[in-house]
Amino acid sequence: MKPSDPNDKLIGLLDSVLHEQPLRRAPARLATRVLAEIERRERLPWWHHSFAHWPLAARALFLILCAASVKFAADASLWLTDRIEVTQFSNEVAAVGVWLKITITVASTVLHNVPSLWFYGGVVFIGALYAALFGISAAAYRTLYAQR
Amino acid sequence: MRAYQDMVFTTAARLTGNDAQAEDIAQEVFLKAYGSFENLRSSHTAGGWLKTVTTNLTLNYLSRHRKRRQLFSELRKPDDDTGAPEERFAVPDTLLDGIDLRQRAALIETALQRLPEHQRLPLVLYHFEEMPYDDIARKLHVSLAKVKIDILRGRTALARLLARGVIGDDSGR
Repeated sequence: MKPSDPNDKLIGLLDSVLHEQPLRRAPARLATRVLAEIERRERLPWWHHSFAHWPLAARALFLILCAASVKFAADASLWLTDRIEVTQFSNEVAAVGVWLKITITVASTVLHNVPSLWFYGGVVFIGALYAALFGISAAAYRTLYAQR
Repeated sequence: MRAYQDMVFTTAARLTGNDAQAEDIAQEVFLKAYGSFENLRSSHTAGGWLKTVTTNLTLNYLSRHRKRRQLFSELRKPDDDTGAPEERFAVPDTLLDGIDLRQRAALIETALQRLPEHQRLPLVLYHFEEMPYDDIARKLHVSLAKVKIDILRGRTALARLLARGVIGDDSGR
């Protein structure tokens, strides 16, 4: 930068002006607000605090219950798999397969018989609905939230 | 708390440019300090700790709000104009002359609030928090070049606002 650069002068001026700028006074209600919030938080029951602040016994009991529920879930799934008949299970799968095949056949027949104009029209209509939904959400956000 | 509340509030207010948000952030800072009260009570660096926590909480707060705004309102990046020509401004020799200290302080705070966020943040971090350029770039997740340009333009805009003089009736709070 040249010595006569107006930016040098600007930097020098703002440096000194901003350096001397005093602190602003905090609103008088800030201390009251903080104390009220501390009291409110202290009145909350222990289970509303984070896990690290729970009583030791409660934390230990919680961990034991977690371990017990994992064990129970594992045992229950083993018990269920032992009792389900393999043939019954395969019949269920076969029934789902048949329904899937029927659905695909119907969808493919409909798609081949619907005029392409209707098909593309439908796609455009659904796209327009999505765009409208996005537009309405954006407008609602700007009106109701962003301007607060 | 009373010893530090002005510092915490001022730091948050200068960064956000909004007193109500600064008050919320200051409350959060003191609640955090209350959580670490045992460590802070005997610490000589409590002021520094509070300042760092205030700056970080404010930047997180602004970043969260910026992301929400950008989701709908700013699909393009309006600040990404580092290639634009640099602005020059001849500072009048009489800038801020003849204005008493209290009025001058109010004027500067109002002018800072008027700056766009992408200029105010780096400018405040540089001039008030005395943070180097690369730390500012890291904190704001922008390039070093953008930080330098934004500070340069922020200074010019601030000087323009100050030179325009008394920025209307709202200079007084």
